[in-house]
Amino acid sequence: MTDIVRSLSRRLFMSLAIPVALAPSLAFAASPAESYVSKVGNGVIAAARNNSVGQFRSLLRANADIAAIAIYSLGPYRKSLTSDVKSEYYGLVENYIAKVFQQNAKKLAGQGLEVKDTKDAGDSILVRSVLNFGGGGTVPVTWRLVKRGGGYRIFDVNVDGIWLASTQKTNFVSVLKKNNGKMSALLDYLRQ
Amino acid sequence: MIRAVKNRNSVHLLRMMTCVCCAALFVLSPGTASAERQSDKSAFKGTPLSLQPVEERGGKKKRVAKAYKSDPSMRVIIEPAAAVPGIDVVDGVQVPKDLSETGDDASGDDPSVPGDLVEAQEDPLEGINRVVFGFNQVIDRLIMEPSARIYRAVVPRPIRMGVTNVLNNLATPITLTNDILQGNPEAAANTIKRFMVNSTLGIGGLFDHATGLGEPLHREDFGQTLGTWGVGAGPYLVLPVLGPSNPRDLTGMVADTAVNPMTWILYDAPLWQKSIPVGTQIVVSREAILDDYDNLRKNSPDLYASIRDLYAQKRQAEIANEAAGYDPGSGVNSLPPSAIPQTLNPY
Repeated sequence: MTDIVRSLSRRLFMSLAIPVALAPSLAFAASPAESYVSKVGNGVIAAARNNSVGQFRSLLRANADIAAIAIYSLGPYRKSLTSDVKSEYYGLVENYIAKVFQQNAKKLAGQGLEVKDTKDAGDSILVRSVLNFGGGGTVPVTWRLVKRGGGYRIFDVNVDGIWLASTQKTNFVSVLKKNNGKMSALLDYLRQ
Repeated sequence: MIRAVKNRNSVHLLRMMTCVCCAALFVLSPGTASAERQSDKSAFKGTPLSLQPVEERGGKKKRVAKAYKSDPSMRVIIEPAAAVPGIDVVDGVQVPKDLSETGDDASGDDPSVPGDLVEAQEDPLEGINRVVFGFNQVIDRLIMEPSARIYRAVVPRPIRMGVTNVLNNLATPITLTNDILQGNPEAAANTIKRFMVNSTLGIGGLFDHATGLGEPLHREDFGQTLGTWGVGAGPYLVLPVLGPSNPRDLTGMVADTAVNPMTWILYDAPLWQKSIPVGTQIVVSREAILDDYDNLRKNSPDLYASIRDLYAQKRQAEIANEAAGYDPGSGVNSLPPSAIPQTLNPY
């Protein structure tokens, strides 16, 4: 009887102790999406500190879903994008985004990025983070990721309540609207 | 007789067992097609559908890392994808290798492009709004922008920060009232603590010691409160001098003006005295966004549309009390105070 009790109490102890011991490590383990954002975020901060368009561009090439962003930015004019200009358009969009980042480099040159949590938004994943500046200043940054090739790609970034791809869409649609949906007008605008 | 029946029963039993065994063998043994798929899976080093890295944590990391090792020579197409060589497929969605190889179909039905997170701002009064916007641009160029530039050039940065802090402190009654109306006791406690600390240690609000003590600034207005109560923005409005708004935020502006003690303190004062806090607020706010607004003017192909989009996005984020895409009610750790003041902005 004593043995049975001892055996039961040992099992009970193990069943309670193991989860308790593992809980902290599980609680603080970052999801793959969070780890990815942490890595990319630090790259963005480094590029912002160097104020380098080239660095932003290579970061975008490696981590952003430029094709999806470029198509999204056309809004209702998606069908204006024909196969012959597609490749050039994607390249120009990549350059345009790199320049936008470079123009806002001061706002992104923080001291570090603290990743908070992740939320599934159905067609994408939202990773919330905070960009820390010196003297207690912080700016909330939310990253919108899409699943690509078994990993992730960045589709949009929200800095202090403003989605960059959404703002870009407003600009592109304005150009197309003014020019009766002519893709050549948008390409000219992006070449400037 | 009994023995014959028993024999018949045992034969039936044997036949049934044989059938079950055959069925089990048929199910368990791989057929020709499934054998091919099995060999594909064993060779696949790309993105098998069974591996879902999104929610995986801790112990499953090794498996995910293994899945990332891609070998172009071993690439396969997994059902239900179309068999297009050179294109990877994840959950039935084509994933281009590089920019030039993105799918040929750029139609609106492209499944790889996520939808909008931001609610579109309706603008049925665009014609009138654009006229008022043009008028506001003239006022801005003639009065507001030069005033803001002079303020920046003449007043040293520490003093400008002090003035901003005083204005934030004076806005406490508005924020506190709306914290309470939104049923957010945590935010209300933060507002009270900030007011007590900054009014005393901060010498009448000149210094923001509360932020250093872990009580960051947040601002709420009645437009946001109406938003949290489920009131929609309504059509976009551009108000003369005051700039972008909507019926919900215009109602909020009126309510906040009634709650603001300065309204009642200066109720019987001459017009020039009444204009001091409002004028100061306008100049301080315009100075805060000088650089951003310059960039916007320079880069935006349609300034009107850009400001309408930015205003709508910003308000949606402020109502959600979080960075966009998250649920409301997250307490005081919300957006930092907007660069665009809620009641008086110079657009």
